[in-house]
Amino acid sequence: MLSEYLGVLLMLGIAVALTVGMLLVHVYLGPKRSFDKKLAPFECGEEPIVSPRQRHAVKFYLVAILFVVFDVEAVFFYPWGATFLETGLPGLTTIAIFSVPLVVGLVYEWSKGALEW
Amino acid sequence: MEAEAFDVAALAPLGFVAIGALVTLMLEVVLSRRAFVGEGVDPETRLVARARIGIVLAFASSAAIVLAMYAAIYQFELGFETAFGPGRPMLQLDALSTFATALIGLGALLSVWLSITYLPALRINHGEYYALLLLSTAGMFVLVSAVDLISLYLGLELTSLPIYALAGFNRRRLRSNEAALKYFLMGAVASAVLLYGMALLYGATGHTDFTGISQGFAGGGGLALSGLALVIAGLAFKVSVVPFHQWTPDVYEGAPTSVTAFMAVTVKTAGFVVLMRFLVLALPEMGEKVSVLLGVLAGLSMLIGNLMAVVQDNVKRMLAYSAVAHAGYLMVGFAAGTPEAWTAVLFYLFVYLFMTVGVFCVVIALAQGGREWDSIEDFAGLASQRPALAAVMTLFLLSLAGIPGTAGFMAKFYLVVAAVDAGQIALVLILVGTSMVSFFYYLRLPVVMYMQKRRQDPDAETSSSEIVVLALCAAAILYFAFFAQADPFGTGVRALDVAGRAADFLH
Repeated sequence: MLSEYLGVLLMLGIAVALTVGMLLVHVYLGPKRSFDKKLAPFECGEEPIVSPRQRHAVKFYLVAILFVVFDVEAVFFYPWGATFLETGLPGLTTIAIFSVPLVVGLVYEWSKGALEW
Repeated sequence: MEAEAFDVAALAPLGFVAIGALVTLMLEVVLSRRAFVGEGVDPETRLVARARIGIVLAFASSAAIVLAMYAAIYQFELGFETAFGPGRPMLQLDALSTFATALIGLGALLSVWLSITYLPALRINHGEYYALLLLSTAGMFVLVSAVDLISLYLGLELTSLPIYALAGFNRRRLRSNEAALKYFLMGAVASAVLLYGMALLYGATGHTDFTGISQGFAGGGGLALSGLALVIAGLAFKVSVVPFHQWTPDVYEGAPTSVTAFMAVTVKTAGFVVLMRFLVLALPEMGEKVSVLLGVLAGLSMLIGNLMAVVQDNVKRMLAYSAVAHAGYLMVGFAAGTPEAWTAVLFYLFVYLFMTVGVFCVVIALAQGGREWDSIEDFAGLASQRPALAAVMTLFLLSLAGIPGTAGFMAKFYLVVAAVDAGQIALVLILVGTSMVSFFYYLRLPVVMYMQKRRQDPDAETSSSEIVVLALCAAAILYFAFFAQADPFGTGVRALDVAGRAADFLH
């Protein structure tokens, strides 16, 4: 059974060997002449004026996390919507029970001010 | 698609805590909005209002947990047996799951009571606390009735995620943050290991439900065995068995003490129960090999837990290593794997709950002024200042050590008897030997409390909720020391029989 995967394994091996091999060829054969200008950070021909490592407001993460919840919610809503006629009342009850915690969560984060920018 | 008959009553315990979690979450928002309306509320009023809200929330969550426990005990009395799931069973409600549900509920209830005065004392009285605690409890209810790898994983994550947050609940304290991050990262790795194991088991057997795995397992095979080892490793992490215990001391020390108490008793109960069900249902044939594996884990946990506990200066850290050691004692029962051993394990978990909540409650009773008093020196001369507190602390420690006359001794006794009957002589020798070692560090605290002068003079008092918890735990330890198998008050309930009925889920 596992022998079916031999091709994949070979493919994987060749891919890794090729990539690593090309990198190694470059490292060992490529000429290396470094000078100040070449080592300086380059940004569209301009001198960089600020450090590229900046702090982001934590709000971005918060919004991202809150988004994930509703993203997942949508994932569950689609199959329910597609099978609405078949699942009928039990389906409706189930999805209602499923939605309640999410709504509570939304109300909670709203009143805690998590949605205020 | 046929709508399945859905026995709501069977899921009542789960429903109560889940609804309780949502209600406490909303209650906090509503109450704090009302209390903090208008600008210019001075910090003092705010603090008082917070404390009041905390009490309301604690009552609400206690009510939810009590209802859940009541439902679970009722189901246990009825001898309820029901399986749920679309097409195949996902959750199995039987004597084991209702017993464990009641036990976890008790642990959660006592932890809630511990938190009532502790959270304001540490100034971390935020409303999410009780909701997170209830959510985690709900996860454990799922976990103890899981009969499928999918529901097992779901329950485990629902158990763990709130606890990661709770461990870091003291946001301003670096140690607490460290505990949360460490627990989260290591827990995530453990989850990944568990999932990998599940994938291998599914690949090898073609089933995710425990009984299906046992049928597919008949041939054995390397794939299934590696899957099994990984699943055991993932669960061993949760119950802090060596060599998956490294997170334990840091997390136990860093987390707020009420959270430490909560996870020490409830997560351990849930983890061991689900491991028990998994081993019994999925591997009825695998006796010898698995019991050697579990025996090694047990031996290592007892040795390392007890030896490391000796050199600790922080009481919470010492108790963390002692928790590792106790996980080792419990694993001896797993290595034995007989029905008597399962009974002993369940009885041990029951007794362990009171001892552990008790000791952590004493640590909590000492906390004041926004910090914990949890180094061994902080206990110096406690007996002269708060004699009752020192006395119950000594009782809990003696029980943890397993001195005759305490429930801890009876628990260990049944475990040893079951292990000897199953022929695990080497493990029993390690158990007895390391218990000797454990006397050293358990008895160090009474020595410090009774024979040294008080250095600090905290004016903290034991609050009424703490007195209730301490009295309950102490009474339980004394009661079950003598009446584990007897029934002096004619209630018709014998602790060991109850554990035996719960352990009888196989037959």
